[in-house]
Amino acid sequence: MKQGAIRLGLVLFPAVAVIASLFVGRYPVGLREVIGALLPLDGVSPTARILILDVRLPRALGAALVGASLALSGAVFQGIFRNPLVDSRILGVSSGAAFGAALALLLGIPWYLVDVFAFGFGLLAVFLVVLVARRFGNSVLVLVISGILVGSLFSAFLGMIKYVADPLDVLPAITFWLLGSLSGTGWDAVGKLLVVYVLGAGTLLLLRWRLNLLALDEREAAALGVNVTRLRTWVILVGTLLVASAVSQAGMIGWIGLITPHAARALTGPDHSRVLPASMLMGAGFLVLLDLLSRTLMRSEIPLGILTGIVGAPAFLLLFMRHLARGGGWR
Amino acid sequence: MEMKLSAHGVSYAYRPGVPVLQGISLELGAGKVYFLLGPNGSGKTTLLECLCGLRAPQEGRISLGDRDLYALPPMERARAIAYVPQIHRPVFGYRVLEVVLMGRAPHLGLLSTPGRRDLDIAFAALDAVGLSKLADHVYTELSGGEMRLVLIARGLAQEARFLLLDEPDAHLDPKHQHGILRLVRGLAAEGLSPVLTTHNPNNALLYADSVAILRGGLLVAQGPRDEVLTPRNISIAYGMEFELIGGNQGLKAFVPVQGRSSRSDFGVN
Repeated sequence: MKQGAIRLGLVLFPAVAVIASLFVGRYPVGLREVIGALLPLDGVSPTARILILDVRLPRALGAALVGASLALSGAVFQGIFRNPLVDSRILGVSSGAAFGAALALLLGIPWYLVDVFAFGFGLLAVFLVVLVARRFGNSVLVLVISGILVGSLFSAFLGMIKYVADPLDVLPAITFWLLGSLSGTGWDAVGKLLVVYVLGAGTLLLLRWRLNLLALDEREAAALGVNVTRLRTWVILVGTLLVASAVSQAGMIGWIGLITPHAARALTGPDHSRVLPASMLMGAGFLVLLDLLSRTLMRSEIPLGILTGIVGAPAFLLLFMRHLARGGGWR
Repeated sequence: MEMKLSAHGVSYAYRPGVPVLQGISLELGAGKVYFLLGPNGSGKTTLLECLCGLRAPQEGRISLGDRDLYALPPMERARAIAYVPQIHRPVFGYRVLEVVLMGRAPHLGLLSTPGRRDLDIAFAALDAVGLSKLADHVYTELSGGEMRLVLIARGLAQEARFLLLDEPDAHLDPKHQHGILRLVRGLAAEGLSPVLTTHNPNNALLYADSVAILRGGLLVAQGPRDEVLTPRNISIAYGMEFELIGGNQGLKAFVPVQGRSSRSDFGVN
Protein backbone atom coordinates (compact mmCIF):
# COMPACT_ATOMS: atom_id res chain seq x y z
CA MET A 1 0.00 0.00 0.00
CA LYS A 2 2.65 2.47 1.08
CA GLN A 3 5.03 1.11 -1.56
CA GLY A 4 2.30 1.53 -4.15
CA ALA A 5 1.77 5.17 -3.21
CA ILE A 6 5.51 5.83 -3.40
CA ARG A 7 5.70 4.20 -6.82
CA LEU A 8 2.78 6.23 -8.13
CA GLY A 9 4.28 9.43 -6.75
CA LEU A 10 7.63 8.67 -8.36
CA VAL A 11 6.07 8.19 -11.78
CA LEU A 12 3.79 11.22 -11.48
CA PHE A 13 6.55 13.59 -10.32
CA PRO A 14 8.45 13.96 -13.64
CA ALA A 15 5.21 13.75 -15.64
CA VAL A 16 3.63 16.60 -13.70
CA ALA A 17 6.84 18.63 -13.91
CA VAL A 18 6.98 18.26 -17.70
CA ILE A 19 3.31 19.21 -18.08
CA ALA A 20 3.74 22.19 -15.75
CA SER A 21 6.68 23.46 -17.76
CA LEU A 22 4.48 23.63 -20.86
CA PHE A 23 2.36 26.27 -19.14
CA VAL A 24 4.95 28.35 -17.38
CA GLY A 25 7.19 30.93 -18.99
CA ARG A 26 7.55 34.51 -20.12
CA TYR A 27 4.84 33.99 -22.69
CA PRO A 28 1.78 32.68 -20.83
CA VAL A 29 -0.36 29.98 -22.41
CA GLY A 30 -3.61 28.50 -21.14
CA LEU A 31 -5.02 25.01 -20.80
CA ARG A 32 -6.95 25.34 -24.06
CA GLU A 33 -3.83 26.17 -26.01
CA VAL A 34 -1.73 23.38 -24.46
CA ILE A 35 -4.39 20.77 -25.14
CA GLY A 36 -5.00 22.21 -28.58
CA ALA A 37 -1.31 22.11 -29.46
CA LEU A 38 -0.76 18.60 -28.14
CA LEU A 39 -3.76 16.86 -29.67
CA PRO A 40 -3.61 18.79 -32.15
CA LEU A 41 -6.80 20.82 -32.55
CA ASP A 42 -7.53 23.99 -34.49
CA GLY A 43 -7.80 27.41 -32.90
CA VAL A 44 -4.33 27.65 -31.47
CA SER A 45 -2.13 30.49 -32.67
CA PRO A 46 0.96 29.35 -34.61
CA THR A 47 3.17 31.16 -32.10
CA ALA A 48 1.68 29.28 -29.16
CA ARG A 49 1.86 26.01 -31.07
CA ILE A 50 5.54 26.46 -31.89
CA LEU A 51 6.28 27.61 -28.36
CA ILE A 52 4.62 24.60 -26.78
CA LEU A 53 5.61 21.87 -29.22
CA ASP A 54 9.02 22.97 -30.44
CA VAL A 55 10.41 24.99 -27.55
CA ARG A 56 8.96 24.06 -24.18
CA LEU A 57 8.20 20.38 -24.74
CA PRO A 58 11.60 19.34 -26.15
CA ARG A 59 13.35 21.46 -23.55
CA ALA A 60 11.39 19.82 -20.71
CA LEU A 61 12.01 16.34 -22.12
CA GLY A 62 15.70 17.18 -22.58
CA ALA A 63 15.86 18.31 -18.96
CA ALA A 64 14.14 15.10 -17.87
CA LEU A 65 16.63 12.95 -19.81
CA VAL A 66 19.66 14.89 -18.56
CA GLY A 67 18.39 14.76 -14.96
CA ALA A 68 17.62 11.05 -15.20
CA SER A 69 21.06 10.33 -16.72
CA LEU A 70 22.90 12.23 -14.00
CA ALA A 71 20.87 10.71 -11.16
CA LEU A 72 21.18 7.19 -12.52
CA SER A 73 24.93 7.50 -13.04
CA GLY A 74 25.25 8.91 -9.50
CA ALA A 75 23.31 5.98 -8.08
CA VAL A 76 25.44 3.35 -9.81
CA PHE A 77 28.73 5.13 -9.06
CA GLN A 78 27.81 5.31 -5.37
CA GLY A 79 26.88 1.64 -5.46
CA ILE A 80 29.88 0.19 -7.24
CA PHE A 81 32.41 2.36 -5.42
CA ARG A 82 30.61 1.62 -2.12
CA ASN A 83 30.81 5.32 -1.46
CA PRO A 84 27.78 7.46 -0.62
CA LEU A 85 29.73 10.68 -1.20
CA VAL A 86 30.52 10.44 -4.91
CA ASP A 87 28.85 11.24 -8.18
CA SER A 88 30.05 11.93 -11.70
CA ARG A 89 31.29 15.38 -10.75
CA ILE A 90 33.18 14.38 -7.61
CA LEU A 91 34.72 11.46 -9.51
CA GLY A 92 36.05 13.88 -12.13
CA VAL A 93 33.97 12.27 -14.88
CA SER A 94 32.06 15.48 -15.56
CA SER A 95 35.24 17.56 -15.80
CA GLY A 96 36.80 15.01 -18.12
CA ALA A 97 33.68 14.92 -20.28
CA ALA A 98 33.45 18.73 -20.26
CA PHE A 99 37.07 19.01 -21.34
CA GLY A 100 36.44 16.53 -24.13
CA ALA A 101 33.37 18.39 -25.32
CA ALA A 102 35.13 21.79 -25.13
CA LEU A 103 38.07 20.40 -27.07
CA ALA A 104 35.65 19.20 -29.71
CA LEU A 105 34.03 22.66 -29.86
CA LEU A 106 37.44 24.33 -30.13
CA LEU A 107 38.51 22.03 -32.95
CA GLY A 108 35.21 22.56 -34.75
CA ILE A 109 34.35 18.86 -34.65
CA PRO A 110 30.88 17.98 -36.06
CA TRP A 111 28.16 17.99 -33.38
CA TYR A 112 27.55 14.25 -33.36
CA LEU A 113 31.20 13.63 -32.47
CA VAL A 114 31.15 15.97 -29.47
CA ASP A 115 29.62 13.17 -27.39
CA VAL A 116 32.36 10.79 -28.45
CA PHE A 117 35.03 13.23 -27.23
CA ALA A 118 33.13 13.80 -23.99
CA PHE A 119 32.80 10.04 -23.46
CA GLY A 120 36.46 9.36 -24.18
CA PHE A 121 37.79 11.98 -21.80
CA GLY A 122 35.18 11.16 -19.16
CA LEU A 123 36.41 7.56 -19.22
CA LEU A 124 40.02 8.68 -19.07
CA ALA A 125 39.19 10.77 -15.98
CA VAL A 126 37.38 8.00 -14.09
CA PHE A 127 40.09 5.44 -14.80
CA LEU A 128 42.75 7.87 -13.58
CA VAL A 129 40.71 8.34 -10.39
CA VAL A 130 40.36 4.60 -9.87
CA LEU A 131 44.10 4.11 -10.43
CA VAL A 132 45.08 6.82 -7.95
CA ALA A 133 42.54 5.65 -5.35
CA ARG A 134 43.70 2.02 -5.65
CA ARG A 135 47.25 3.14 -5.03
CA PHE A 136 46.27 4.80 -1.76
CA GLY A 137 43.98 2.24 -0.22
CA ASN A 138 40.60 2.98 -1.76
CA SER A 139 38.80 4.43 1.25
CA VAL A 140 35.75 6.69 0.97
CA LEU A 141 37.87 9.78 1.50
CA VAL A 142 40.75 8.73 -0.76
CA LEU A 143 38.35 8.19 -3.65
CA VAL A 144 36.80 11.62 -3.09
CA ILE A 145 40.23 13.26 -2.97
CA SER A 146 41.48 11.49 -6.10
CA GLY A 147 38.30 12.56 -7.85
CA ILE A 148 38.81 16.17 -6.85
CA LEU A 149 42.45 15.92 -7.97
CA VAL A 150 41.69 14.54 -11.41
CA GLY A 151 38.71 16.89 -11.72
CA SER A 152 40.93 19.90 -11.05
CA LEU A 153 43.44 18.69 -13.60
CA PHE A 154 40.79 18.53 -16.29
CA SER A 155 39.34 21.86 -15.16
CA ALA A 156 42.80 23.35 -15.68
CA PHE A 157 42.97 21.86 -19.18
CA LEU A 158 39.52 23.29 -19.75
CA GLY A 159 40.78 26.70 -18.60
CA MET A 160 43.56 26.37 -21.16
CA ILE A 161 41.02 25.77 -23.90
CA LYS A 162 38.99 28.78 -22.81
CA TYR A 163 42.19 30.85 -22.80
CA VAL A 164 43.04 29.99 -26.39
CA ALA A 165 39.44 29.99 -27.66
CA ASP A 166 38.22 32.84 -29.83
CA PRO A 167 36.81 35.39 -27.36
CA LEU A 168 34.13 36.49 -29.81
CA ASP A 169 32.29 33.27 -30.61
CA VAL A 170 33.78 30.04 -29.26
CA LEU A 171 34.62 31.32 -25.77
CA PRO A 172 31.15 32.65 -24.88
CA ALA A 173 29.62 29.45 -26.26
CA ILE A 174 31.89 27.28 -24.11
CA THR A 175 31.45 29.43 -21.02
CA PHE A 176 27.68 29.55 -21.11
CA TRP A 177 27.35 25.88 -21.99
CA LEU A 178 29.66 24.96 -19.11
CA LEU A 179 27.56 26.80 -16.56
CA GLY A 180 24.79 24.49 -17.55
CA SER A 181 21.90 25.33 -19.76
CA LEU A 182 19.14 23.60 -21.60
CA SER A 183 18.09 26.61 -23.61
CA GLY A 184 17.76 25.83 -27.27
CA THR A 185 17.24 22.10 -26.66
CA GLY A 186 15.36 20.98 -29.74
CA TRP A 187 13.98 17.68 -30.93
CA ASP A 188 17.29 16.64 -32.52
CA ALA A 189 19.00 16.99 -29.13
CA VAL A 190 16.17 15.08 -27.42
CA GLY A 191 16.59 12.32 -29.97
CA LYS A 192 20.32 12.08 -29.35
CA LEU A 193 19.85 12.08 -25.56
CA LEU A 194 17.12 9.49 -25.85
CA VAL A 195 19.19 7.03 -27.89
CA VAL A 196 22.06 7.12 -25.39
CA TYR A 197 19.65 7.00 -22.48
CA VAL A 198 17.76 3.96 -23.71
CA LEU A 199 21.04 2.13 -24.26
CA GLY A 200 22.62 3.17 -20.96
CA ALA A 201 19.64 3.08 -18.63
CA GLY A 202 18.43 -0.13 -20.29
CA THR A 203 21.72 -1.87 -19.54
CA LEU A 204 21.85 -0.62 -15.96
CA LEU A 205 18.24 -1.53 -15.26
CA LEU A 206 18.83 -5.04 -16.54
CA LEU A 207 21.78 -5.35 -14.17
CA ARG A 208 19.89 -3.74 -11.29
CA TRP A 209 19.86 -6.64 -8.86
CA ARG A 210 23.42 -7.69 -9.57
CA LEU A 211 24.63 -4.18 -8.73
CA ASN A 212 23.84 -4.96 -5.10
CA LEU A 213 26.60 -7.55 -5.17
CA LEU A 214 29.13 -4.92 -6.25
CA ALA A 215 28.15 -2.93 -3.17
CA LEU A 216 29.58 -5.78 -1.06
CA ASP A 217 33.20 -6.35 -0.24
CA GLU A 218 35.07 -7.41 -3.38
CA ARG A 219 36.07 -10.82 -2.07
CA GLU A 220 32.55 -11.59 -0.95
CA ALA A 221 31.15 -10.70 -4.35
CA ALA A 222 33.81 -12.90 -5.96
CA ALA A 223 32.89 -15.75 -3.60
CA LEU A 224 29.30 -15.40 -4.82
CA GLY A 225 30.52 -16.09 -8.35
CA VAL A 226 30.54 -12.47 -9.54
CA ASN A 227 33.24 -11.42 -11.98
CA VAL A 228 33.75 -8.18 -10.08
CA THR A 229 36.27 -6.49 -12.36
CA ARG A 230 34.32 -7.16 -15.52
CA LEU A 231 30.95 -6.14 -14.12
CA ARG A 232 32.38 -3.00 -12.52
CA THR A 233 34.15 -2.00 -15.72
CA TRP A 234 30.93 -2.36 -17.68
CA VAL A 235 29.00 -0.28 -15.20
CA ILE A 236 31.66 2.45 -15.27
CA LEU A 237 31.55 2.48 -19.07
CA VAL A 238 27.79 2.78 -19.18
CA GLY A 239 27.61 5.33 -16.34
CA THR A 240 30.24 7.46 -18.06
CA LEU A 241 28.34 7.23 -21.34
CA LEU A 242 25.25 8.66 -19.65
CA VAL A 243 27.28 11.46 -18.03
CA ALA A 244 29.04 12.33 -21.30
CA SER A 245 25.74 12.60 -23.10
CA ALA A 246 24.27 14.80 -20.36
CA VAL A 247 27.36 17.02 -20.13
CA SER A 248 27.74 17.58 -23.84
CA GLN A 249 24.10 18.60 -24.03
CA ALA A 250 23.72 20.66 -20.87
CA GLY A 251 27.18 21.42 -19.49
CA MET A 252 28.37 20.83 -15.95
CA ILE A 253 25.34 20.30 -13.77
CA GLY A 254 26.37 19.15 -10.34
CA TRP A 255 24.54 17.84 -7.28
CA ILE A 256 21.69 16.03 -9.02
CA GLY A 257 23.79 12.88 -9.29
CA LEU A 258 24.95 13.14 -5.70
CA ILE A 259 21.72 13.91 -3.89
CA THR A 260 18.99 12.20 -5.87
CA PRO A 261 20.18 8.65 -5.09
CA HIS A 262 20.15 9.47 -1.37
CA ALA A 263 16.62 10.79 -1.61
CA ALA A 264 15.67 7.67 -3.57
CA ARG A 265 17.23 5.36 -0.97
CA ALA A 266 15.37 7.16 1.79
CA LEU A 267 12.13 6.28 -0.01
CA THR A 268 12.84 2.77 -1.25
CA GLY A 269 15.71 1.30 0.79
CA PRO A 270 19.13 0.50 -0.69
CA ASP A 271 18.20 -2.35 -3.06
CA HIS A 272 19.32 -1.21 -6.51
CA SER A 273 16.30 -2.90 -8.06
CA ARG A 274 14.29 -0.05 -6.60
CA VAL A 275 16.94 2.67 -6.18
CA LEU A 276 17.76 2.86 -9.90
CA PRO A 277 14.22 3.46 -11.20
CA ALA A 278 13.46 5.79 -8.28
CA SER A 279 16.68 7.79 -8.85
CA MET A 280 16.06 8.30 -12.53
CA LEU A 281 12.45 9.36 -12.05
CA MET A 282 13.36 11.78 -9.28
CA GLY A 283 16.38 13.11 -11.16
CA ALA A 284 14.19 13.74 -14.20
CA GLY A 285 11.55 15.56 -12.13
CA PHE A 286 14.10 17.65 -10.21
CA LEU A 287 15.91 18.90 -13.28
CA VAL A 288 12.69 19.75 -15.13
CA LEU A 289 11.59 21.80 -12.12
CA LEU A 290 14.96 23.50 -11.76
CA ASP A 291 15.04 24.29 -15.45
CA LEU A 292 11.56 25.74 -15.12
CA LEU A 293 12.83 27.98 -12.32
CA SER A 294 15.98 28.88 -14.24
CA ARG A 295 13.99 30.36 -17.08
CA THR A 296 11.31 32.08 -15.01
CA LEU A 297 12.92 33.43 -11.81
CA MET A 298 14.71 36.30 -13.48
CA ARG A 299 14.39 38.32 -16.63
CA SER A 300 17.31 36.44 -18.18
CA GLU A 301 18.00 32.75 -17.65
CA ILE A 302 19.93 31.68 -14.59
CA PRO A 303 22.47 28.99 -15.54
CA LEU A 304 21.33 25.59 -14.24
CA GLY A 305 24.66 24.80 -12.63
CA ILE A 306 24.20 27.83 -10.38
CA LEU A 307 20.67 26.86 -9.38
CA THR A 308 21.52 23.24 -8.64
CA GLY A 309 24.41 24.48 -6.51
CA ILE A 310 22.19 26.81 -4.49
CA VAL A 311 19.70 24.01 -3.87
CA GLY A 312 22.17 21.15 -3.78
CA ALA A 313 24.88 22.29 -1.41
CA PRO A 314 22.57 22.79 1.60
CA ALA A 315 20.72 19.58 0.74
CA PHE A 316 24.02 17.73 0.71
CA LEU A 317 24.95 19.22 4.06
CA LEU A 318 21.73 17.80 5.53
CA LEU A 319 22.41 14.38 4.00
CA PHE A 320 25.95 14.39 5.26
CA MET A 321 24.88 15.28 8.78
CA ARG A 322 22.40 12.42 8.67
CA HIS A 323 25.13 10.09 7.38
CA LEU A 324 27.30 11.00 10.39
CA ALA A 325 24.41 10.87 12.86
CA ARG A 326 23.69 7.29 11.77
CA GLY A 327 27.27 6.31 12.49
CA GLY A 328 28.40 6.46 8.86
CA GLY A 329 32.10 7.10 8.68
CA TRP A 330 34.92 7.90 6.32
CA ARG A 331 36.07 4.32 5.85
CA MET B 1 28.45 -38.89 -5.28
CA GLU B 2 30.70 -37.54 -2.66
CA MET B 3 32.70 -34.57 -3.78
CA LYS B 4 35.90 -33.62 -2.03
CA LEU B 5 37.65 -30.30 -1.77
CA SER B 6 41.35 -30.87 -1.51
CA ALA B 7 44.61 -28.97 -1.45
CA HIS B 8 47.76 -30.51 -2.89
CA GLY B 9 51.04 -28.92 -1.87
CA VAL B 10 49.61 -25.42 -1.76
CA SER B 11 51.99 -22.50 -1.21
CA TYR B 12 51.00 -18.85 -1.16
CA ALA B 13 52.94 -15.62 -0.72
CA TYR B 14 51.59 -12.07 -0.71
CA ARG B 15 55.12 -10.85 -1.39
CA PRO B 16 57.74 -12.92 -3.20
CA GLY B 17 60.03 -14.66 -0.76
CA VAL B 18 57.68 -14.30 2.23
CA PRO B 19 55.49 -17.39 2.07
CA VAL B 20 52.30 -17.37 4.15
CA LEU B 21 51.48 -20.97 3.29
CA GLN B 22 53.98 -23.69 2.44
CA GLY B 23 53.19 -27.06 0.96
CA ILE B 24 49.76 -27.51 2.53
CA SER B 25 47.91 -30.68 1.61
CA LEU B 26 44.56 -31.59 3.06
CA GLU B 27 41.25 -33.10 2.08
CA LEU B 28 37.80 -31.90 3.11
CA GLY B 29 35.04 -34.47 2.94
CA ALA B 30 31.28 -34.47 3.25
CA GLY B 31 29.28 -34.22 6.44
CA LYS B 32 32.18 -33.36 8.67
CA VAL B 33 33.11 -30.27 10.62
CA TYR B 34 36.67 -29.34 9.74
CA PHE B 35 38.61 -26.87 11.90
CA LEU B 36 41.64 -24.92 10.73
CA LEU B 37 43.31 -24.08 14.00
CA GLY B 38 46.25 -21.81 14.57
CA PRO B 39 47.54 -18.63 16.18
CA ASN B 40 47.25 -15.17 14.62
CA GLY B 41 49.25 -14.90 11.42
CA SER B 42 49.51 -18.67 10.96
CA GLY B 43 47.99 -18.45 7.47
CA LYS B 44 44.61 -20.00 8.23
CA THR B 45 42.56 -17.18 6.72
CA THR B 46 44.74 -17.20 3.60
CA LEU B 47 44.25 -20.96 3.33
CA LEU B 48 40.50 -20.51 3.70
CA GLU B 49 40.49 -17.94 0.91
CA CYS B 50 42.50 -20.26 -1.32
CA LEU B 51 39.99 -23.04 -0.65
CA CYS B 52 37.16 -20.65 -1.64
CA GLY B 53 38.86 -19.97 -4.94
CA LEU B 54 39.46 -16.34 -4.01
CA ARG B 55 43.24 -16.63 -4.18
CA ALA B 56 45.13 -18.81 -6.59
CA PRO B 57 48.11 -20.45 -4.88
CA GLN B 58 51.46 -19.84 -6.55
CA GLU B 59 52.39 -23.47 -6.07
CA GLY B 60 50.36 -26.63 -5.80
CA ARG B 61 46.72 -26.92 -6.72
CA ILE B 62 43.27 -27.09 -5.20
CA SER B 63 40.72 -29.44 -6.64
CA LEU B 64 36.99 -29.82 -6.30
CA GLY B 65 36.14 -33.43 -7.06
CA ASP B 66 38.49 -34.26 -9.91
CA ARG B 67 38.52 -30.74 -11.34
CA ASP B 68 40.90 -27.87 -10.74
CA LEU B 69 39.14 -25.22 -8.64
CA TYR B 70 40.52 -22.32 -10.67
CA ALA B 71 39.47 -23.83 -13.97
CA LEU B 72 35.83 -23.86 -12.84
CA PRO B 73 33.55 -21.03 -13.98
CA PRO B 74 33.07 -18.69 -10.96
CA MET B 75 29.32 -19.30 -10.82
CA GLU B 76 29.75 -23.07 -10.76
CA ARG B 77 32.40 -22.76 -8.06
CA ALA B 78 30.07 -20.56 -5.99
CA ARG B 79 27.33 -23.19 -6.22
CA ALA B 80 29.68 -25.67 -4.55
CA ILE B 81 31.56 -23.47 -2.08
CA ALA B 82 30.11 -20.71 0.08
CA TYR B 83 32.26 -18.19 1.93
CA VAL B 84 31.15 -16.67 5.23
CA PRO B 85 33.46 -13.72 5.89
CA GLN B 86 34.50 -12.41 9.24
CA ILE B 87 33.66 -8.76 8.95
CA HIS B 88 30.92 -7.42 6.76
CA ARG B 89 29.67 -3.90 6.89
CA PRO B 90 28.06 -2.76 3.68
CA VAL B 91 27.88 1.00 3.25
CA PHE B 92 24.18 0.85 2.55
CA GLY B 93 21.60 -0.33 5.07
CA TYR B 94 20.26 -3.43 3.34
CA ARG B 95 17.47 -5.41 4.98
CA VAL B 96 18.39 -8.78 6.43
CA LEU B 97 16.33 -10.60 3.81
CA GLU B 98 18.06 -8.68 1.00
CA VAL B 99 21.46 -9.71 2.35
CA VAL B 100 20.42 -13.37 2.51
CA LEU B 101 18.96 -13.18 -1.01
CA MET B 102 22.39 -12.18 -2.32
CA GLY B 103 23.38 -15.78 -1.65
CA ARG B 104 21.21 -16.70 -4.63
CA ALA B 105 23.57 -14.87 -7.02
CA PRO B 106 25.35 -18.00 -8.35
CA HIS B 107 21.97 -19.53 -9.21
CA LEU B 108 20.72 -16.51 -11.17
CA GLY B 109 21.63 -15.29 -14.63
CA LEU B 110 23.48 -12.03 -15.16
CA LEU B 111 20.31 -10.11 -15.90
CA SER B 112 17.80 -11.85 -13.65
CA THR B 113 16.41 -10.85 -10.30
CA PRO B 114 15.47 -13.26 -7.49
CA GLY B 115 12.05 -14.86 -7.87
CA ARG B 116 9.52 -16.62 -5.67
CA ARG B 117 11.64 -19.74 -5.28
CA ASP B 118 14.70 -17.69 -4.27
CA LEU B 119 12.63 -15.86 -1.68
CA ASP B 120 11.43 -19.18 -0.25
CA ILE B 121 15.00 -20.46 -0.04
CA ALA B 122 16.15 -17.25 1.64
CA PHE B 123 13.35 -17.46 4.20
CA ALA B 124 14.17 -21.11 4.88
CA ALA B 125 17.83 -20.17 5.40
CA LEU B 126 16.88 -17.42 7.84
CA ASP B 127 14.65 -19.88 9.62
CA ALA B 128 17.53 -22.37 9.87
CA VAL B 129 19.64 -19.83 11.75
CA GLY B 130 16.65 -18.76 13.86
CA LEU B 131 16.39 -15.21 12.58
CA SER B 132 13.08 -15.27 10.69
CA LYS B 133 11.80 -12.52 12.90
CA LEU B 134 14.57 -10.16 11.80
CA ALA B 135 13.93 -10.52 8.06
CA ASP B 136 12.81 -6.91 7.73
CA HIS B 137 15.41 -5.39 10.03
CA VAL B 138 18.29 -3.29 8.78
CA TYR B 139 21.36 -5.53 8.60
CA THR B 140 23.88 -2.85 9.63
CA GLU B 141 21.96 -2.22 12.85
CA LEU B 142 22.18 -5.82 14.11
CA SER B 143 24.50 -7.08 16.84
CA GLY B 144 27.74 -8.84 15.93
CA GLY B 145 26.30 -12.28 16.65
CA GLU B 146 23.18 -11.64 14.59
CA MET B 147 25.23 -10.31 11.68
CA ARG B 148 27.26 -13.48 11.65
CA LEU B 149 24.10 -15.58 11.66
CA VAL B 150 22.76 -13.58 8.71
CA LEU B 151 25.97 -14.25 6.78
CA ILE B 152 25.66 -17.95 7.57
CA ALA B 153 22.07 -17.81 6.31
CA ARG B 154 23.37 -16.20 3.12
CA GLY B 155 25.84 -19.08 2.81
CA LEU B 156 22.97 -21.54 3.25
CA ALA B 157 20.89 -19.75 0.61
CA GLN B 158 23.83 -20.33 -1.70
CA GLU B 159 23.01 -24.07 -1.40
CA ALA B 160 26.67 -24.99 -1.54
CA ARG B 161 28.04 -28.23 -0.14
CA PHE B 162 31.09 -26.57 1.41
CA LEU B 163 30.55 -23.73 3.85
CA LEU B 164 33.82 -21.96 4.63
CA LEU B 165 33.62 -19.75 7.70
CA ASP B 166 36.34 -17.30 8.66
CA GLU B 167 36.62 -17.18 12.47
CA PRO B 168 32.90 -17.48 13.17
CA ASP B 169 33.64 -17.44 16.91
CA ALA B 170 35.74 -14.27 16.98
CA HIS B 171 34.57 -11.20 18.92
CA LEU B 172 31.52 -12.98 20.32
CA ASP B 173 30.60 -13.73 23.91
CA PRO B 174 30.62 -17.45 24.91
CA LYS B 175 26.87 -17.86 24.49
CA HIS B 176 26.90 -16.56 20.93
CA GLN B 177 30.08 -18.47 20.08
CA HIS B 178 28.55 -21.74 21.15
CA GLY B 179 25.23 -20.92 19.55
CA ILE B 180 26.93 -20.46 16.18
CA LEU B 181 29.19 -23.49 16.53
CA ARG B 182 26.24 -25.71 17.51
CA LEU B 183 24.36 -24.46 14.50
CA VAL B 184 27.35 -25.33 12.31
CA ARG B 185 27.46 -28.85 13.76
CA GLY B 186 23.79 -29.23 12.98
CA LEU B 187 24.49 -28.27 9.37
CA ALA B 188 27.13 -30.98 9.12
CA ALA B 189 24.55 -33.46 10.36
CA GLU B 190 22.43 -32.43 7.37
CA GLY B 191 25.24 -33.29 4.98
CA LEU B 192 27.04 -29.97 4.55
CA SER B 193 30.77 -29.70 5.00
CA PRO B 194 31.59 -26.71 7.18
CA VAL B 195 35.21 -25.56 7.37
CA LEU B 196 36.04 -23.11 10.14
CA THR B 197 39.10 -21.14 11.13
CA THR B 198 39.60 -20.35 14.79
CA HIS B 199 42.33 -19.67 17.30
CA ASN B 200 40.43 -21.33 20.10
CA PRO B 201 41.54 -24.95 20.63
CA ASN B 202 38.70 -25.60 23.06
CA ASN B 203 36.08 -24.79 20.45
CA ALA B 204 37.78 -27.30 18.17
CA LEU B 205 37.70 -29.88 20.99
CA LEU B 206 33.97 -29.38 21.37
CA TYR B 207 32.81 -29.15 17.79
CA ALA B 208 35.37 -30.54 15.31
CA ASP B 209 35.37 -33.86 13.51
CA SER B 210 38.71 -33.20 11.87
CA VAL B 211 41.34 -30.62 12.61
CA ALA B 212 44.34 -29.13 10.84
CA ILE B 213 46.78 -27.15 12.96
CA LEU B 214 48.77 -24.41 11.26
CA ARG B 215 51.75 -22.49 12.46
CA GLY B 216 53.79 -20.07 10.40
CA GLY B 217 52.23 -21.30 7.18
CA LEU B 218 53.10 -24.94 7.83
CA LEU B 219 50.84 -27.81 8.84
CA VAL B 220 51.73 -28.96 12.35
CA ALA B 221 49.27 -31.83 12.24
CA GLN B 222 46.01 -32.85 10.62
CA GLY B 223 43.51 -35.64 10.97
CA PRO B 224 40.71 -36.80 13.28
CA ARG B 225 40.13 -34.51 16.25
CA ASP B 226 41.33 -36.81 19.01
CA GLU B 227 44.55 -37.65 17.21
CA VAL B 228 45.42 -34.07 16.38
CA LEU B 229 44.34 -32.18 19.46
CA THR B 230 47.12 -33.25 21.78
CA PRO B 231 48.80 -31.01 24.34
CA ARG B 232 52.02 -31.40 22.39
CA ASN B 233 50.54 -30.16 19.08
CA ILE B 234 48.70 -27.30 20.73
CA SER B 235 51.83 -26.26 22.61
CA ILE B 236 53.84 -26.26 19.40
CA ALA B 237 51.17 -24.29 17.56
CA TYR B 238 50.85 -21.53 20.12
CA GLY B 239 54.45 -21.47 21.39
CA MET B 240 53.22 -21.87 24.93
CA GLU B 241 52.78 -24.95 27.05
CA PHE B 242 49.25 -26.39 27.40
CA GLU B 243 47.83 -29.36 29.18
CA LEU B 244 44.61 -31.23 28.51
CA ILE B 245 42.38 -31.53 31.55
CA GLY B 246 39.29 -33.66 32.14
CA GLY B 247 38.41 -36.43 29.74
CA ASN B 248 36.28 -38.77 31.84
CA GLN B 249 32.84 -37.77 30.56
CA GLY B 250 34.18 -36.54 27.25
CA LEU B 251 34.50 -33.03 28.66
CA LYS B 252 37.96 -31.80 28.00
CA ALA B 253 39.75 -28.48 27.85
CA PHE B 254 43.17 -27.10 27.10
CA VAL B 255 44.58 -24.86 29.80
CA PRO B 256 48.01 -23.25 29.99
CA VAL B 257 50.39 -25.16 32.22
CA GLN B 258 50.39 -23.46 35.64
CA GLY B 259 53.41 -21.39 36.53
CA ARG B 260 55.03 -22.02 33.18
CA SER B 261 53.47 -19.23 31.19
CA SER B 262 56.44 -17.00 31.86
CA ARG B 263 57.37 -14.28 29.44
CA SER B 264 60.07 -16.33 27.71
CA ASP B 265 57.57 -18.97 26.61
CA PHE B 266 55.80 -16.50 24.37
CA GLY B 267 58.97 -15.91 22.45
CA VAL B 268 59.51 -19.54 21.46
CA ASN B 269 59.91 -19.79 17.73
